[in-house]
Amino acid sequence: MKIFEIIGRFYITFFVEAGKYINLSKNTLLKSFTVLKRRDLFFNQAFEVGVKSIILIISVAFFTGTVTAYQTGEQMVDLVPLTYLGVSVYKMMVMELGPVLTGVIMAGRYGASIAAEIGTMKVTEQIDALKSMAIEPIEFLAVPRFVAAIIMLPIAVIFANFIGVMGGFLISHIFFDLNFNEFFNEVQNYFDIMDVTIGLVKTAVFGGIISTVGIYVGFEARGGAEGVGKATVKAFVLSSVLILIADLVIALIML
Amino acid sequence: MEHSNKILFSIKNLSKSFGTKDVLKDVSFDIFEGEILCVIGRSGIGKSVLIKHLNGLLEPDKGEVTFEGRNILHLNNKDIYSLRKKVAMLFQSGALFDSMSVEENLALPLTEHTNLKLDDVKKEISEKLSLVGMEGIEKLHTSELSGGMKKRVALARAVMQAPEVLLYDEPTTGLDPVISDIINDLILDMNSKYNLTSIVITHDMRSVRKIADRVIMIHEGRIIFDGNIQEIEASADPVIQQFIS
Ligand SMILES: Nc1ncnc2c1ncn2[C@@H]1O[C@H](COP(=O)(O)OP(=O)(O)O)[C@@H](O)[C@H]1O
Ligand SMILES: [Mg+2]
Repeated sequence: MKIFEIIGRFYITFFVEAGKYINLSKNTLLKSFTVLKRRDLFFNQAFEVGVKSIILIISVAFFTGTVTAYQTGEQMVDLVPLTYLGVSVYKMMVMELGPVLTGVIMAGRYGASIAAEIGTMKVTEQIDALKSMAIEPIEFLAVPRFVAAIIMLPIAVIFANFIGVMGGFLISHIFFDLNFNEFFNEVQNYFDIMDVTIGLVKTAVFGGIISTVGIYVGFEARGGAEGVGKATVKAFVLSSVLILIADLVIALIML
Repeated sequence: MEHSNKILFSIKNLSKSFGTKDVLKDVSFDIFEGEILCVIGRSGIGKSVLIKHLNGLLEPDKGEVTFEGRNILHLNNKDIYSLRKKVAMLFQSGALFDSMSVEENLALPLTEHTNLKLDDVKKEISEKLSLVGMEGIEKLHTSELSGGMKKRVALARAVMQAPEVLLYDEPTTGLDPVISDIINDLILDMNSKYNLTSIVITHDMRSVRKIADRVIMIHEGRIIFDGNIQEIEASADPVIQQFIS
């Protein structure tokens, strides 16, 4: 008996939380236009996502590009002409690795910091204070973060992709002796604007997930500093998982 | 202090629980325009929960709260926001925005709700800061303020929009007696200068004796006393006696 009760309670909690999360995301999305009223808040957040995190994002992209090129090259030797190495690194980077890795890193960097910031505001009554001053927390806190994430994350990924592919070229040049033309020729031939678009749209979706999860978890934080700590971890874990699920869903839709 | 007989808030049969915990059970009372009402009771008894029903931060499970004759629960978003401009609140910890300076904290209600020019906003801010005896600290960051300073800045922020009602959640808790007295004087000052109605939650009897027109005591989710300070001093109820002595 007990086991059913536990499972039942788990599912109820799950659906209640999921419902609240979806509701919050919907409200945030519907109120996005209010960002125009508070541009300075948006620019602060855009700076946070786009500028303060860019070194981290492109460093990860660089190492991802190099490792991808090396591993793929090793697999291809003797099977596929190495002139195809460039295009495979490029496609993997643009469609998959750039968006997903940037997403997961930013879930830790930006999503967790949103949860910590808003969670602290929650447990110290600052959210109540906003409401008591007739300021809508969704508009004031959620919208600028959400809009900044969906705009700035794709921009950051463009840089990440570029650095990643260049890293791939560097390794290919060193280990497989490819020159610039050999590496980039097939990239040019197989270039498809759709790949880039899908990669960037995906990134925007990940940005939406990272920000809304951080905001939701922050708003739900309880119980002082310890509660805020838990919220931070929860935001990272939850948004990373959701990013991977969304990635799969988008891939299936695109088939 | 005199107050009119006009009822501003009416709380009827208010009940509120969190999970299985019944915090308020069938609480009813009125709040009159112009009075300073102190709500006392032990820590954790539900005083903050009660006061947060007065500006719609919490909604009753049962019963109703009316402000100027209208049920708060039935107000739409726009009306609840206009209520909150009239009913300001000073939070227990001050609840200043810790990512902002003193000036930015005080400017926020004005930049959000008015079209005042920057110069006028600054003038308002320095006026309100001197009102609470904190002139010249505009540029300080909130983390540089002591507990008493935070409360006073938060009070200045609460009156930025010229409210009609001020809700104080434990304004003197955690402050030394000297600062407490300053805050008590401010509460009295604000009330007479702006014709406010003040609801003060506290467990500081010194403060109650100094400022209260009327006292309500909550115990185990119910109101066990409603009267003036002389009456509560004379009460024979052991729970009350233990609390006030
Ligand atoms: N949002 C909430 N969720 C769950 N429990 C709450 C919430 N707010 C208050 N409580 C509980 O209600 C009770 C009364 O709290 P409160 O009104 O803050 O007491 P106090 O009289 O000290 O102000 C406490 O037991 C508190 O844990
Ligand atoms: Mg309290």
